[in-house]
Amino acid sequence: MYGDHATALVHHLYKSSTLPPYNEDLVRQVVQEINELYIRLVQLLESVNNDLADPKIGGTAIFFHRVILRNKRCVLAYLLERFYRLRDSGNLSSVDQLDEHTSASEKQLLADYEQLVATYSDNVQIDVSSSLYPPQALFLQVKVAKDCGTIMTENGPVHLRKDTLHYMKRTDIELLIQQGYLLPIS
Amino acid sequence: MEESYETKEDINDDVWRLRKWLVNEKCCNDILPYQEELVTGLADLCQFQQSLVEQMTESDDFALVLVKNLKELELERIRYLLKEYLRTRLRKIESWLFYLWRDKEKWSLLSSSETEYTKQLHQLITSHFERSFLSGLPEKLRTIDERDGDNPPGNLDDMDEFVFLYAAKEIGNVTTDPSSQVTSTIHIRKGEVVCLRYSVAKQYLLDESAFLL
Repeated sequence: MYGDHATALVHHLYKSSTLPPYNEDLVRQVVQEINELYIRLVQLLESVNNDLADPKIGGTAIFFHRVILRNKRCVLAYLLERFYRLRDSGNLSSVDQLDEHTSASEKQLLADYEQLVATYSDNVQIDVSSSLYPPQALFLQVKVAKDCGTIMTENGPVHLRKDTLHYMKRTDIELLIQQGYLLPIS
Repeated sequence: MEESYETKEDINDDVWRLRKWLVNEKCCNDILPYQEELVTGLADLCQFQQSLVEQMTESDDFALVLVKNLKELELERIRYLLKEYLRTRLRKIESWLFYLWRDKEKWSLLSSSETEYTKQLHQLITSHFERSFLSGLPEKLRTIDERDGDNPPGNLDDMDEFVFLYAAKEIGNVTTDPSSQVTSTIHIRKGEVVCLRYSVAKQYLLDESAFLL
């Protein structure tokens, strides 16, 4: 039935609370359906010289037109919602981890978006991508989840080896926490 | 409730005002005017305070270390407020991108950086739509049609939603629902919390005689 592919596409995203793999097949099928409907609509209008006085012809033309618009809207909503979910996945620097779930265009969009946020931060001279949570304390106890090597802090270099515990200044390690290298221990 | 708000207002007016504007932004489905003076003023103060903290030399004196840590924590908290205020507005721009694109009058409420951000983001998203989907459609269907209401996806702001309003000053008589045929007014005194339609409450937010909760 017309519109089924578009419904399945939106439903596919709606069912998942995270980011499911980009469904290129369904998008392609919706594009195919729209093209097919468009050709039928044009042929129908040409056959009656754009005269829609006959309710049967008019009704069919409106039906084709509405299905095309609905399909189009479903795919645009799908793409936009995926962008919001990718953005909210928190860590734009580790987009590589989401490699399998994103399309080439989404990867490019995310890279451009990251650049856009950086440019905005430069303009206002406030880094809006850091301090995502209200600071509770200046220092944090953290566990190293992945080897980070040696980092420089205000109090000198610190070697962060996997599975070691550290009590460090939050501002020094905020990025590493965001990237999943360190786990805060509350 | 009234007492606690009053006390905080005396301690640091600008920080408290920023917090109020942040909550206002978070609690309404609308973009409020950008508080440029407030944001730049506080950002400058943070920079000044940071330089003072950096000048405090490392010391073994527990009292000095404590003062330094407290000042740094206070700075972090104010910086968080600033970032969260800007982030909240950017999230709104992202959610209502196509709506804002249609309604250019709303752009006067944005800062110059936010306006530039809106333009760039619109370009990025429409390019993404074209690469992923629209380029495969017939020429006439490639535009994002804004007239029929079907496209593009994006929320519209709801001016009639109910919000909780705290009166920081005496407001007086307020018509609760101007669109209704039955006129009903309430008297709002200083310190009262009322539930009103956003369209009615908005004017009191703008002149800072009230704020949202």
